[in-house]
Amino acid sequence: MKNLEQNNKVPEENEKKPGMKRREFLIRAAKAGLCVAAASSVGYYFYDPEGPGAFSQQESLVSLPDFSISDKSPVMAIVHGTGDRNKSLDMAIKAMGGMETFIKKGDKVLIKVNAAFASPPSLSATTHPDLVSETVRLCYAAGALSVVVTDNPINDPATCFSLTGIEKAALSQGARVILPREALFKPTTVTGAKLIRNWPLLYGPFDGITKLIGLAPIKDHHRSGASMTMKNWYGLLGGRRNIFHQDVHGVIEELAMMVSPTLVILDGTWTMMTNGPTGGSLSDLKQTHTMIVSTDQVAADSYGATLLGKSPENLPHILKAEAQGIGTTDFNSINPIRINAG
Amino acid sequence: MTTQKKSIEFSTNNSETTAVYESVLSFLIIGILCLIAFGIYRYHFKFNPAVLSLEQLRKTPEMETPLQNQKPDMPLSPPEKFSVFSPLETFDHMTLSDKIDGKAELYLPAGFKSLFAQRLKPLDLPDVWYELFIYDMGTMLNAFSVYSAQRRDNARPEPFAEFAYSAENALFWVHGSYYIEIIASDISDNTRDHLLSLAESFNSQNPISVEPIEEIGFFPNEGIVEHSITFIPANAFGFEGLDRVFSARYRFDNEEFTAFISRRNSDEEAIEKAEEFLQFLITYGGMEVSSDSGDMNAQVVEFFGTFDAVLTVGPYLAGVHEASSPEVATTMVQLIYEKLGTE
Repeated sequence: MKNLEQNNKVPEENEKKPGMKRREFLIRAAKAGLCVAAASSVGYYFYDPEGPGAFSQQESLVSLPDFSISDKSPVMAIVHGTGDRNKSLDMAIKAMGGMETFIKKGDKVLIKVNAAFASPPSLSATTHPDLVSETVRLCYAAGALSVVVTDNPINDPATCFSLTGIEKAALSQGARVILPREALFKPTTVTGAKLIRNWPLLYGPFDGITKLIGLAPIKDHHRSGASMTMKNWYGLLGGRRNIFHQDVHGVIEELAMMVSPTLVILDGTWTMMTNGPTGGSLSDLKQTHTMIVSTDQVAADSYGATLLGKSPENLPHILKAEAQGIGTTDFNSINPIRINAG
Repeated sequence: MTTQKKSIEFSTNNSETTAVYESVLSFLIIGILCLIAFGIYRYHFKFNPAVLSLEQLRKTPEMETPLQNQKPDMPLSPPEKFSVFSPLETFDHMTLSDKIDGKAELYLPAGFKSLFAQRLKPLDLPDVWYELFIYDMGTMLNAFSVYSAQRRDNARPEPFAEFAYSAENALFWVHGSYYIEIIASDISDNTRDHLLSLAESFNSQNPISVEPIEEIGFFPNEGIVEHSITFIPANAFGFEGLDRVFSARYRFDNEEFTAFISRRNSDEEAIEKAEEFLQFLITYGGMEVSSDSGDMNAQVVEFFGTFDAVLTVGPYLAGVHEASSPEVATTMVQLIYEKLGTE
């Protein structure tokens, strides 16, 4: 009321009242700016671009060396028609120039098997022991100095390696089996990765290793659609890695970025068509009589997908890996050697 | 806008214009701030596993699983002629994937409570073992859900339980709120006897009162694919809003399609869900098709060359999914309508 009276008395002031003086505007703008700057400073103070990672204590990061044969174009062999794993593997390797093409005298070889579950070989949920023993034999025959077999299974490691028959098979041919233990894990960050950052990697068994072979069965997978050679590298991670299942295609892509193997061997002698990755019933399996050996893990998985009645388009992790330049989904472009052993 | 008007923006003579500009500017700034806030909110709820700490997961008390602390008893004591081959393992929702990896994603949305796993050896075959997976799913319906989702083709039905089948090396069944799998490490002449013996022991040691699942009886028998009835706990047919759905496969004239029934909490909810499902189909490219469905008032939608039909009867939402023609869809819903009408 008092203001109104004043306004009536002083018309000039009345006209000025609703507006804002320049000075007042500047003061308010400065205050607002200070508030924003203070809030931003606090936010920046707490910002940690690296994140806490999986290790509470900062350790130096490790990364796997490139085990691929860089001076060689991608090669692939596909053997059809035999249920004998040893025979089909031998034929594939021979067609690719023999194991000597990949393993040289004095090489120290690591074979990454899939020993994820403590289940019998008949369920094909894990790498078949026959394939393990034959691969070890071929490596030694090619002149390997030592062969190590390892995996970080989902179930208890000792039970897994024992009940799958992998341990016995590896030992029978003179390989050393390394079971995971805490001291063997070191933190790793995959360059350009969003998920595998400062994350425990089963690094100890790679000490001195010069060649890496991945040995995986072909399986349906409830989450990722398929479990083949690239998914097999999951067993190199430690920690509560199951949380990566929320972005399973992303983590498989990053695993393929993390690992450059010498060779991958994808066993489609029996394929787990349904209820993977554990299976359980023999009726989950189909006899597909195929062995795939390749230096290109993307090409191997792309062909393996066809045995599951799928294509890379159904399995985003394969497309993602190809987009990273890891390999090709067009396996025909690398002229695979096809052998009919039937 | 003239130069003169610009020059008087802050002047006291054009306060109304200034107020409008200030208001617009304020709303613009508030809008931008809201967008930023929304962006931050979204970003922080987008879970990034890489920031989880292994040490925290190990040490934080609430992350410890109740089963690990309690060590509950196995629901099955080894029967005669069997010995314990491996210690009892227990898993809860936090640790289930430690046992079954990615398959945990099948059990968790279906109401999984706990898993007991143990290997037993038959005394007459020392080289063979049987691994028992005993899933406590909380309710029989949940147990039926995971049972039906994994039912193997060409399985052999077993009469000892309403929902039971065997494969050459394994036995699978529902017992109350339990879903049980027994898997043999090898096949022998005695495998089947061993499997059935273990099942009998489990069922007798865990008595339950069997309650029939009502919805299963509403599926017409004509054309049904045997043992194809499944229970979908959530996200039925890709629609997040549709849960608790029973579905069955049908085959008419070599054409396969799915029929479904879901009991809702009320008649109103059934109508509401039916509308939402139809709207979902239309949103993603479906087109309503006129059909002569008479009293049952079914609505039919063409969805990229297949036909879905939806109707409600009291609290029941029912329909047909991916039929080859509108006639097949309406014929099938008519049969379901009649079945539900007898309720």
